[in-house]
Amino acid sequence: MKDILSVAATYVITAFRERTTLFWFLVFPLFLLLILTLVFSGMGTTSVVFDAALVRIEAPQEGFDPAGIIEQAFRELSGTGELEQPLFALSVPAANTDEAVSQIVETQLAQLRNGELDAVIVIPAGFNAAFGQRMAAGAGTELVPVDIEVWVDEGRTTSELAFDVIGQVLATVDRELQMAVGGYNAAIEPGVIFETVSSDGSGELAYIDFVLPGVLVMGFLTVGLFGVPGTILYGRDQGLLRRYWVTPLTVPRYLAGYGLGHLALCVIQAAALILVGTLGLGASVSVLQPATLLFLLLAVCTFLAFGFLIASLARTANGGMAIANILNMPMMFLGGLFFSIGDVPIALRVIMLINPVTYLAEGVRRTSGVEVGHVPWLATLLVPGAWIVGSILIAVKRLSWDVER
Amino acid sequence: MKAILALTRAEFAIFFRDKASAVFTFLFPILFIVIFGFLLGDGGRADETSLGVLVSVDSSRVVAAGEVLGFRVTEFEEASAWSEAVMQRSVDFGVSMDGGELRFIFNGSRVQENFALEAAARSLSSSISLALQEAAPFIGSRRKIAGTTEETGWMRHTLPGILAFTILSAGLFAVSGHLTAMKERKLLDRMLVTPMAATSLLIAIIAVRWAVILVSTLLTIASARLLFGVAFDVDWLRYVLFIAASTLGTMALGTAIALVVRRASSAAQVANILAILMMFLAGIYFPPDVLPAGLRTVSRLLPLTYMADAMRDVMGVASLSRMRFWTIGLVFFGVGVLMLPVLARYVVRGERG
Repeated sequence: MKDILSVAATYVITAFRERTTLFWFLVFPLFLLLILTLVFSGMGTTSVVFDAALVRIEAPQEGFDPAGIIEQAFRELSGTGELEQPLFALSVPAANTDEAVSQIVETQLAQLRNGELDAVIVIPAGFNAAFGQRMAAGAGTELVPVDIEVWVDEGRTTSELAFDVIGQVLATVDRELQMAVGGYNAAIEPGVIFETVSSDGSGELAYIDFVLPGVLVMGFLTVGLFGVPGTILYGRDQGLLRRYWVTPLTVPRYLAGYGLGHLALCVIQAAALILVGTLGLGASVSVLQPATLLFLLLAVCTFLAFGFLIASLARTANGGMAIANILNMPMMFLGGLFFSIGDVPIALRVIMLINPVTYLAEGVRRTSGVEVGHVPWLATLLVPGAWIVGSILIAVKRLSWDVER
Repeated sequence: MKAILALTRAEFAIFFRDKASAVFTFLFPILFIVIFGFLLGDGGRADETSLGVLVSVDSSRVVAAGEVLGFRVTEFEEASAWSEAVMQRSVDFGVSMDGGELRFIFNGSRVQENFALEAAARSLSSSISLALQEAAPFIGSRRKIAGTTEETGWMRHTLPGILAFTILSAGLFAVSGHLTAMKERKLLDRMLVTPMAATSLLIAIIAVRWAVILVSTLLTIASARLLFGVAFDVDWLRYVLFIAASTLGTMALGTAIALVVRRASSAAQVANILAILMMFLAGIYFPPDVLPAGLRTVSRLLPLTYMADAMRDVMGVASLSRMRFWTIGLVFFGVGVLMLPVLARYVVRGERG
């Protein structure tokens, strides 16, 4: 038993001494958890201030000035308004200078294209007159609205978000104007309810509660995928393992110690992630339940076995790292660790269905009260189990514990 | 010249023998676009959003409003099938109208998409509210695309960043992985006792990296074209020049790492860690604008941020002013050139040197 514990202790101590190993097994998962939570929890909230330009080509007019009302609405939501946390950083280039109007618009669009702006709102010439005509036409669902041009840089996330927000601002202004002219009665508008549905009825899911179990599984995946082939193959290639074999330590006892050390590392990693996730980022998902812990243990065993499978397939340590690198990305991203996966082509669906990560992430989430996928319960146990058995069988047959002579 | 050619041939052979490097340089970017291209596509816009409407007395108004807004509308007779469709993602979100109440349902697991879907639902709600009072909006918003083509999308925005990351990795590892490994394995010792000049070896390494990066980025662009039909309006002259300049610049960064971290394996690991951290903070996957203010500042300090900006410019995805582009290019080139003597003097030398 002492020799097993000794191998386990060596494994853990080495991981802590090697700063790079420490980074990958501890710092990187924490960084990823933090950055993903910051990005996806903050997206679409007031933490984002959109850089927008409003070009008012339509000249101001005395009295009722719809273009002015729209301009004012955007000003109030921007840094120039009185909001503590503005929604827009708005610039309103003067369109009454000598510079041609088209030139002003072109300058703003150039800034939009090079990322300095997220959207350009253009109130076209003739807007007030068109608005007056539209208003005079009165009610009627077939009537066409008077358009404000909203220029976006398609595909850029903040620009797309800015377009949605600008649309909502314009809809609010429109509603106010309709009410002002008596064309709309807010008192009889339908009540609006937003609900989230899930198969367990748990409703709204915070991103941190979704991603924490995913990052836990990712951490175990990384340690297994890179750590096991790294240690075993480098140890073998550099003759370190050979030194073990001249001692009374047998391969099964070495493996027992190695597995114990691996488990200890995973426990440390999981503890750090759960601590930061719950205390620092406000996760409410309950991962410390017996069933969840059993799934996490299953994940440790699956990726440990998978690591040995890679080690048995590679002839050299470099080859092992190459295989691990190739497998890492599809396993990680097609396992639904960081975002849920919808419709994908058949080839990717096949990878998803044979990917043990899909089932382990699902198992950990389900047992911790986050219902997201539609994988049958039994499969969450059987597929990782099949990977463990298959990997061990191949590793036992193929893995060489000493350098080939 | 003969020495340089021989060294270049040897460097090519070494590069392709190192499977991990080859995987990172050639396969990683292609794998990335295949996975993310299919997973994320260019979804999330209203014209691609599907809406499930629960049939009721008033649902015809909902269907009409949804179609006007460009949603793909599917009607459901049963409430259970309707909510199941949302859960199974057959539709993006559902809406029912019962008397004076509009009820929208979203899939709780679509944590990263629900914000956009809720915004779409609000637009729909406004339209339905107006339609119920036989009114139509006075003001509309006409979406206009500012890009050079109408085909911009997630892939077009992300791919130049991935290519910039490929250049960064290859440049960093040329020095802090490859050269330091040669040093650790005493290969440099053996080479430096020959009449070979350190600069010849450096020229060979730079030439191989340039060629490899060029081929890798071209393969990635071709894959995006073939698989997703994504075309780029590439300014080829500036493309080639920028790849050359940024490779030199990132090799300079690799030199700095190699000077600080003496062990080859550690230098490679530090380079890898830096590259990964930069990848997340430099706006490759998600825009720095959505990061907290502190991290936005960090993002502005990273070379990868500027490399990605310049690549987007030469590929016609975003436009920088010519002045800004050439400044970025010249800074990378200048830093690279200035660092070469340091590289030759302090890194390309034997263990005893």
